[in-house]
Formats: sequence, C-alpha cells, structure tokens
Amino acid sequence: MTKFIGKRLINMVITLFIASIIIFTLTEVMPGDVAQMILGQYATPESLEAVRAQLGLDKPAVVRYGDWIWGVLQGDLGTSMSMKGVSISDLLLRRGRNSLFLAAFATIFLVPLSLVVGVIAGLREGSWLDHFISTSSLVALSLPSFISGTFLMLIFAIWLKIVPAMSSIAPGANLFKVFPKLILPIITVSLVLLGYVARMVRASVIDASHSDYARTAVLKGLPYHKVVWHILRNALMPTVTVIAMNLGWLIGGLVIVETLFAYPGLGRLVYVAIQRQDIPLIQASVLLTSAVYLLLNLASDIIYTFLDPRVRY
Amino acid sequence: MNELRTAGDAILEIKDLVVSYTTLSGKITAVRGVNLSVERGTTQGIVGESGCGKSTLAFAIMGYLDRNGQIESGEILLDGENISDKPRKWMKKIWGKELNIVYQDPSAALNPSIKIGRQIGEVLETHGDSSEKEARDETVEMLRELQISDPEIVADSYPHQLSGGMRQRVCLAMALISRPKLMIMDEPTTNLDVTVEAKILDIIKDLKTEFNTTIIYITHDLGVVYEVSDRSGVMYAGQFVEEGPTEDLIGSPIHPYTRGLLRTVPEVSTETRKGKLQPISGSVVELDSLPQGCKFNPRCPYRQEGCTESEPEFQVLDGDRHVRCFEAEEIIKEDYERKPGGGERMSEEKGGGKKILGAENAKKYFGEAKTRLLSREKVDDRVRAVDDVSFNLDEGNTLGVVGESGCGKSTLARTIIGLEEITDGQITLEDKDISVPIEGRDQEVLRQIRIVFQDPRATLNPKRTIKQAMVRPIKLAGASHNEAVNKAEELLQAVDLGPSYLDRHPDQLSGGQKQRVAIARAFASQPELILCDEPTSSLDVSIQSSIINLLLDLQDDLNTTFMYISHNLAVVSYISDYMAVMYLGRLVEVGPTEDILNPPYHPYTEALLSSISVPNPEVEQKRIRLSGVVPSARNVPSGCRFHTRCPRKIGEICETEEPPTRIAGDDAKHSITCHIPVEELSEVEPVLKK
Repeated sequence: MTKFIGKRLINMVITLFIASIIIFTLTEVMPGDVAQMILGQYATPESLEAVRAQLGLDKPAVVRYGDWIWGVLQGDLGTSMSMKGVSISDLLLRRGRNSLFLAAFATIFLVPLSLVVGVIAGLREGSWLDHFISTSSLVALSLPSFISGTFLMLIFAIWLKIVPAMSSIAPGANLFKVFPKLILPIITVSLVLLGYVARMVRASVIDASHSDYARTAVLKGLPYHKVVWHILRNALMPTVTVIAMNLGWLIGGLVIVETLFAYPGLGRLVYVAIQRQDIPLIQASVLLTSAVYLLLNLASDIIYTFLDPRVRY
Repeated sequence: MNELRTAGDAILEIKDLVVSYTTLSGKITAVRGVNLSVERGTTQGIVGESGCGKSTLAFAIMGYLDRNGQIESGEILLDGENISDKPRKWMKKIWGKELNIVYQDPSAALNPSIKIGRQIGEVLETHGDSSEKEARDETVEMLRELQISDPEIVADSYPHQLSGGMRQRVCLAMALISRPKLMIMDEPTTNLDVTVEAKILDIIKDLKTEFNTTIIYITHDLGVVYEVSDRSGVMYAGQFVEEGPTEDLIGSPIHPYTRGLLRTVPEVSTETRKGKLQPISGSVVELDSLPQGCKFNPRCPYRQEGCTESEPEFQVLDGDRHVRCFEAEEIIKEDYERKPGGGERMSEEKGGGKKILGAENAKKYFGEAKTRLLSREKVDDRVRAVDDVSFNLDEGNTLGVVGESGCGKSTLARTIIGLEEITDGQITLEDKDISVPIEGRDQEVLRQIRIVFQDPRATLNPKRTIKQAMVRPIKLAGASHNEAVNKAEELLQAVDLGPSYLDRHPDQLSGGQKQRVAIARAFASQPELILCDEPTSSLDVSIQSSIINLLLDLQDDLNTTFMYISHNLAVVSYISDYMAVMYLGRLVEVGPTEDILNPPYHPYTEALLSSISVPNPEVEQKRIRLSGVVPSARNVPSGCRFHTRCPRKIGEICETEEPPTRIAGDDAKHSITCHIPVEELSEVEPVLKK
C-alpha cells in the first residue's frame, strides 16, 4: 500500500511537471503584451523595453521557465503583475480559502443528496419517482451554470428576496457569518454535478440489482434491507471515482459561478488574471488547480482499494 | 392430462404448468403444459437444448420469473402446498430455507465484495435464530462437508480468491446449509473443467445419501444427467417429450428427439470412429412460430400424416415411462441402435506423409525475467504458457489438443498462427520456418494457415455483410473480385448455406450459421492448415454435430490439415487422428487417437478420461479424481509438473527430475512423458470398458 501511494505520488510530480510545461507554453503563445497592458496604448518603444526588462520578459523563454519552476519548487510563486507587488502565494491562500469553503459546502450538500437520489431512483427503476428523478437530473445536468445561476438569482434573490443576489464579501470576513451570501453559489455550482452523479449512481445501482448475486441474495430469502446492502456494496464503488472526478471539475465550475456572483474566490481570480494578462498569476493558479485535481484522483483510488477487495496493492 | 405416476411421497408436483412472457411482439409461451412429480430424496434430471424452456421452468418453480413472465395456469405443489400463486412476501419465507437454487456461473452468483463466510452465514441468521458465531461455525462445518480442505480460510476469503470449482462448492454450501426440501441446479457444472466437474458431480451424488436432499438437475449434457439423476425428462418446445427412469431413458430412448440427441453427441470410445454423427435435421423451433401438431414433427424422421394435425398426449408406456409421441408404440418395437452408421471413415490409412506443421521446442512465455534493483536477485516469474512443445503433423490429418483450462492449448494455437510472438524454438510450415509474428509473415503464409475461434458472434464484423467477410480472404489467394464472389457462393454452398446469405449481416444469422460462415471463411483462402479453437463449445449439441460433420467432409474433399483444440474429450477423440494431451505448457502424451484412449496412459490422460461423463449404460468407467487445480504457469512445479496432483506419483524422483519422454508400445508415434516405465503404465485397466 505504501509502495502504491509512493509510486502514485512520484507519478503525480511527473504529471505536474508536464502540466507546468504546458501551462507555461500556453501563456507564452497567448496574444497580447504585458508591458503594453501596463503602460497603455501610447507608450514609447523605449519605455516598453524598459518595463519588459524590469519584468524579466526580455530573457529567452527557457530561462524564464527555469526561473519560474525554480521559484515554485522553493515555494515562491512570484508577485502579481496586475496587482502591483502582491505576493501570489498570499493571494492564492486567501482566495483559495474562500473557494475551499464554497467547494466544501457544495460537497457536503452534493454528495449525500446525489447518492440518496440516485439510489432511490435505481432501486425503484421504472417507477414514477425514478422517472421524476431521472428527468430532473437530466435538466440539472444540461443547464449551464451561468443560466441556472441567473435563474436562481432572479427567483430567490430578486423576486422572493430570501437570499442576497451578490456574494461579494470583504477580505478576511468570517465566512460563517456571511453564509446566506453563499447559498446561491453553492446551489448553482452543485446543480450540474448533482444531476451527473445522481445519474451515475442510478445506473450502477440498476446494473447491480440485475446481477446474478443480487438474485442470489433475493432467493436466499434475505430481508429487503440486506438485499439492498448486497447491491449497494458493489454499486457505490465506481461512484467514488465519479465523485472525485467531479470535485475536480467543480474547481473549474467555480470560475463561472464565482464570477457570476462576484464571489472573491480562486475561480474569479483566474478570470481576472486572464483578463489582465497577469501571466505569473495565471500560471500559479492553474498549476494549483491541476495539483488539487491530481490529489483528488489519488484520494479516490486509495478509497477504492479499501472498498473493493479485488483491488489490493 | 394422462394419469401421472402417483409416487408415494412426492415433494414437488407440477400440474399442467403454463408459463408465458409478454414481449413487444406479443405473448410467448415458454412452458406449455408441464406435468412432473419428484419424489423425496431423488434427483430429477431435466435435459434440453437452449430455448426449450428448462430455465423458465426452474424459475417458475422458484416463483421468481422475469418481470415480463407470468404463470398462466397450472399448479406447483411443494410438499402438498400450492406455491404457484403465492406473493413474493410469502415466498421470501421459503426461499433460502426450503427452496434453493444454484445456477451456472458461480463467479457471478457470489457477491464479489462480501466474504464467503458472511454470504453463507446470513442465510442461517435470516431463517433461523442462529447467532453470528453459530452461523459461522455451521458454515465452516458445511464447507468441510463439501470437501473443502481449509474451510476456515475459505470462509474468510472473497470470491475472486477462489477457483471456479471452489466457488461452485461455496454456492452448493450456501444452498445446502438450511437443509432445503428442494434444490434446483441449473447447469451448475457447465463452465467448469471436466476434472472439476467430475468432483462436483461426485459431491452432488453424495448429497442424496448424506442430506436426503431432493434435487432438480437441469443441463444440456446427457452424460451429466446420466451420472447424477434417478429420473430424467427431456424437454422440447416448452414440454416434456419423454420422462422416465434415467437408466431406461438413456439406455433405450423412445422419443425420436431423445434418440436424436443421444446419437448426435460423439462419445468417447476406445474403438475407432465409425460413420458420421447424426445431426437432428433442422433447428430448434422458435417459440413464437410453433408448428401445427407435434412440435417436433418438422425434424422427426418418424413423421406420419397425423403428426402435423394434432398434438400427441403425454402417454404412459412400460408402466413408468412417459412419452409424447403418436408413434411410440411402433418405435418401442424397434431395436435401438446406439450409434448406427457404416465404417466408411477411418477405414483407410491416411496421410501422404507430407509434413505440414512442425513445432520444435516451441516456447511462449509472457512477461519478462527481472533482476531486483536492490538485492540483485534474479526473479523469473514469467508465465510459461507453452513450454517446450514439439510435434509434427502430416497433411490431411487432424491433431486434437486436450487439457484443462490454463494448460496452454489456446496459446499454442495463437503462437502457431502468429498472434503471439514465439519466445523460443521453432514453428515450421511445410518445412519453412514461420517462427515470426503475423506482421512478419508474407501473404503466402497468411493464406496457408487460418483459424476458427470459439465465439462466432465475436469473430464476424457486425457491420460487414457475409459477402464482404468472405471475399477478402479469397482475394488473398489471388482471385479477382468476380471470381471471389463466385467462390464465396460456392463455399457457402459447401457449408449448407444458400447464396442468399451473401448479402446478410451477421446479426441476421443464428449461432450455428455464423460458425458455418466462419468455417467457410477459414477455407476461403484454400489453406493447408486450419486451427480450430473450441469451434463448437458455445453451440447446442445438435448444431455441434453438423459442424463436426461439415469439418470432416471438407477435410475429405480438400485434404486440409486440422489442429483441433477443445476441452471436450469426446469431440476431440471423435474428430482427431492424433491427439496431444497438454498439461501446464507441456505435451505429456502424444499419439494416434486409438493409442491415447487405450493403455498405456499418461496418468493425466487416464484421469481426464475417467472424469468425463459418458451417457451410455453399456460403458463401465474407472473412477480417478485429481486433487486441486492446475498450478499457476508463473511458478511451475519442479521435476514433473504433474507431480502435485498425480495419483500415481512414485516418489521423490517425480519432484526432482524432469520425466523422460518414452516411446510407448509398438507405434513410434505414441510417446509418454513420465517417470513410470511404459510396461507399468500398460498394465492398468482401460478407463472405459464396454
């Protein structure tokens, strides 16, 4: 087991390294010039040169990549270009905390609900309840979050006035105190995943209940709850992977939702960074996102080995 | 309904049972009026080909039909109580307690993520008031009764950690632990090796005396039914066509269908093959388009005019036998000839002597030998699937390869055709070295060797018509398109399929027809050698026999050489001129079929022969059972590979030294690889005696 985790961690580092190259290359070929951005349209060529030299942009790409990755390895992510002198590490930490809070609540809300809904639909295959769940999860799944978010905002914030429409909060605010502001973003970001996970759970529950071993359980005369246990013991295993993958996706989803609700999280930071061509910030935040994604994946694989006796390392 | 045998103590009585399924295209009646009475403590066999309704009958008895299935009429009395109209809630009380079922695939029937002990124990906890501890003790005891040597360990294992035979024992234990009144077994040994099957059948036979269990045993295999059951019934189109004491039913069958089934399966016989197999003409009737009158009449050699008009009753004959046939009185007067047919085959010596296929010390290992990074220790855990195999095969002959699963038969075939790259040694075709993988072979070699696989459904591309599938290999032999189409038509004719099949897609064909196409395609390039890897294993017996006849006819006409791989000894011994017995990557015995089937035997061959079920009361069979399973080819036993299971192990030499290969008997072609001297091997009694 330790060997397996060790191997996976090494793999992860290699993957991250490759990701860093791709991220760097992408920001490199992105159109636009940072110096121009900073100095405005009417800057002289000389002053542009000077700013470039100051930012280190005049060095060859390989050297700049080397500098960057060396910094990252030492825990120094550099400073933001657009927000003068702000340390990126600090920025990511602060915004990351906000996003984590949002993601954690979304997960707490999403995982149990989608499991329950999916299991009920699966066990009652073909009933009206199943049809209702299947259809509504398909709707939730197919609506992009900027649409569903707008609708939720319109209904709950503007018409019913139950919750605030905007989620902008002051830096360092106690997130529990401003919780009502987070309700809409949490629901919005969960909705797509809720539909997706519920459908996956439903499908694997149905699959398992048609299996020979489920039939064996029934024909052993076991009470219903034990038969369900036999089914779920196997049906929920693949769900672990699905959930982990989706949590990774959730990070991407935050970009849209945080922007829509003006919530100061990591997603919105990426959005702003791209808008302002803040290359070091883009690089750092995208790299962080990939790392989180890989960690989630590893976590799901480890959990899987505990659930499935056929997988042992 | 005619009067039924009213036995003193019937545990199960089925009266006029009709079961139907509602499908999109209407209602289909799968069981059409079944009457059956099973006495306490006996085993009732039910035989039939696929689609005859035997599994539907089983699940109807269990009260667990598919959602679209329903009992239309009739009664099922379990110990006098009608259970056919009971709701699930009521059935729950007797499922697992009085009424149990074991089905075909034990790996699917067991929950993969719950320990064996738990899965068996919960039956007791549900139906009795056993505590977890008591249930556990009883479980271990039950496993021990089913001859599982480490019951504690097995109870703590997950299903995937056990072999197939072990899993089926676990299923039996699970069904037996509550001492049910009735146990239904639906093809419980079908996917197992013969050696394992034989042991499971032994256990099932013992159940009767030890637990006084009543069993309904469902199978397509007449040999198995003959082995285990006291009485048997043959089903056709949802009805019994014949029922009676097994001894009589197999020994002197009356119904034309029963006779047909018995004649259609090849039987292992120590004599040379006589005549052709007799396939039952036509194919199994579709339940949605049943013929008028007797349902068997379109295929029946005894058909009279009346047969197409009304359906015969299930009449009593000979006191204790039931037959559904108008002609029964006439047929019973005829003497039943078990295997008719002249001696046209095998009468003349075969072979022009030209060597087609040769293997010399051929090896196929999977994986790589490694050296440990730190300890510098060499680890060679390569899978030795084929390990030092040598043989020659002459033109026009058939070499049959037998052995348990995992012995390397299929890998050998795949290595010969080049799908696997040979690790060491040489394979020659007409003395030309072809020890290269398929990408490295020239067109000519590709043309010369073809292969027929087990599953015809998987080998034909569903998107291509039969014509497209056939024309390509013909063009490989250098034909133009038009010539190729003509040739394809000819080939289809040769496998008894008309030219109308050319434009069909594979999904419009039945399994047997697909396999015919696969065979026609194999012959399309006029190959010198065809490798057949279990070509009939997934087919019904009546189709199997026509495929075998077809192969033999084509061989006669074209002088093609075959290598025929199968776990079915009866089929292999019927079709082959030479046989090779394979164990853990090695050939332990090679020789002319007759010599293989008679002493001297390699101890492994002897055990294989004694494991098969022969549906013939005239044949006496010696009983030898192998312990354990084939060891892993990753870690082969030292010395003689068979020593871990050999019932005739002579001592330490078997564990330490590789056995020599000796010529056995007068025929230089017969060789046995064993430490026991040939003279001693010759002294054993033949396994099969008439």
